[in-house]
Amino acid sequence: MGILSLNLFISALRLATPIALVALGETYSERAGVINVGVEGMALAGALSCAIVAYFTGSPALALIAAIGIGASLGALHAVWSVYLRADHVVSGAAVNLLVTGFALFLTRVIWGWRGTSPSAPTMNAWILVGVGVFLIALSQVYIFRTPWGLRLRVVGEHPRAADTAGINVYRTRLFYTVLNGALCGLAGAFLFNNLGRFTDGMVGGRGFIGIAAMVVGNYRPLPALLAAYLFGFVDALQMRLQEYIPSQFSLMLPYILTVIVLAGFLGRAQVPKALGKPYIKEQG
Amino acid sequence: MKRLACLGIAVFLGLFAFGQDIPKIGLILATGGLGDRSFNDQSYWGAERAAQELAARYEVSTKDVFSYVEPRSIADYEAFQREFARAGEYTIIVCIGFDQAPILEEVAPDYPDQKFVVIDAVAAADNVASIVFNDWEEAFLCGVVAGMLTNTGKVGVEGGMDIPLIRRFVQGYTQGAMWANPKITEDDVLVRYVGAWNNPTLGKELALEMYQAGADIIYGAAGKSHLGVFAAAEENPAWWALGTDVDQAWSAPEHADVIVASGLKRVDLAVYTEIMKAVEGTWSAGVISYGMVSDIGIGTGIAFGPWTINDYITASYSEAALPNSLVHEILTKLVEAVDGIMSGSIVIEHE
Repeated sequence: MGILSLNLFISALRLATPIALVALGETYSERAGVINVGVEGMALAGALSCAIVAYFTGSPALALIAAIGIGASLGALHAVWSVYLRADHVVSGAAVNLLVTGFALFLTRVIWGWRGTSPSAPTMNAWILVGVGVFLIALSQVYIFRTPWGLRLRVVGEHPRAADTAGINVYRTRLFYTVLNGALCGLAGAFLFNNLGRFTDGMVGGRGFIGIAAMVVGNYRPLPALLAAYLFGFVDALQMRLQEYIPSQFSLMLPYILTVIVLAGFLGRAQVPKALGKPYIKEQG
Repeated sequence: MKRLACLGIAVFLGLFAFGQDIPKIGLILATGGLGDRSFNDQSYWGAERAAQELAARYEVSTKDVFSYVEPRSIADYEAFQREFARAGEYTIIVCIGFDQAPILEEVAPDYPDQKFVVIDAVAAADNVASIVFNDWEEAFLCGVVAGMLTNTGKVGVEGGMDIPLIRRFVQGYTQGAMWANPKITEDDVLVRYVGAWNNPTLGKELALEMYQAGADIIYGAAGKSHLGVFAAAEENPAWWALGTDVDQAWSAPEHADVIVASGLKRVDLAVYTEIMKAVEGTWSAGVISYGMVSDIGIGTGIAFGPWTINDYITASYSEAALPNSLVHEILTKLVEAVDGIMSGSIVIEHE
């Protein structure tokens, strides 16, 4: 059987889904001007809350809601820090990552007596979430570029003062899209949990950061970001199959080499929202 | 006056305790910490068992003879090693995990009268016993089970990283499978590396890839990453999995239906044995190997089937639905393999 089989493309789609969901979330918040490097922690929190709720209630649907809710709450936390209290966006996001990592070890141990791992818990078919993800991404492409709300979102990230003058509440808009980013990260975490059937502390494993890379490659647009995420997933799935022919040390490098090459090629060309990462201070006289 | 009497009693009791020279165990766990249901928990059981025996012997509580710490990072190791050694009251200090060895090599010479044990690595110092295991033996036995069980004639192994430790697992496993099933060639053993010890998502994809490529049983030697092998095996009733170091049908009970067997590395036994040797005065420094063909002659094996046959083939919590005749056949083959390894008629090549 050759390397280029149907299973390769299916495996790539599974690997791409969490990356694409994070990329979509990050597209929203960065379009509004908020950098969020806390995506890794938000996805991990989503996976953990999904595991906890699924374990105790036995309901994967409730678990999904919990994952999205916890992700959104962390998004709100990040927004309060970075938008309202004007903390450095990167520092605030990194704080979320550290907070969740520590909390995950603590909670798994308190609840199950295991360090960083949960027992198996009831899951839903992860393919449902793959479908939901693709649908949301397609919808977002239209939302951001073809609707008045999308226009407002983009203005807030490009020129918040103009938006403010036009009567758009900059703070509330940034809060809303950062919360949305958190919710989508929670959804990514829920996918990871449902795909494996248990929580482990390393299950996000850099997919959040690669999601940010996919967003940059996609140039802050949802559909191209999806394609970029699929490319990352595809190379990961491909390297497993290449291990048959080349040493694993080399094949395992491929996804990272690709990330470096693609980012180096795209970073210069990406149209970064002008007010990205800059706190907005309302007219003070 | 009353206070003086109290003080007197306290001093007397202290002297009494001191005079009895109660042994004390210090345990420095690896960064994984308690609750990993593997290495660290096993080490703890070994030390706890020794502590309970000593506590009963000297009629004290286990707390008086046993202290342990859980370092949060590699950077904590040195401080803990020195803290225990400086106290001067520990009969033996047990350090868990290969990453403690280079630090212990620096620390141990500063405390020449202190006995140290390091598990799973070699630290060259005059007062350290370095415990190593013949990992390839447990891998060989897992290979035997895989070779006997496969219907497709292809078996897989998922390693954490392509490093000597894991290559020894792969080598043992490959030879075991080929020994048990002459139809299997080296090309029929699929080998994949996750590149991480804690990435079960990728571990599952890798396992699915091997299953889809025709392997129907996969041996996981990738830490938490190979939890993904178990999850993948659940997706098809014809797929099986093998675990590492502890009976994983016990440590991952939800997957007991697909985990047919697990290789065993008796870290608990090694920790217990070294502590008791130090207490009895038979302890010695240097490299000490545990396993079938080793200094100690015990310490590796396999958990398979419903019965404990000998020191090497023990009962498993596995709930895999295998026909009785097949279980008997595999057990017979395992006994043959153990006898062969012990007698030297089977030589497992490894790096």
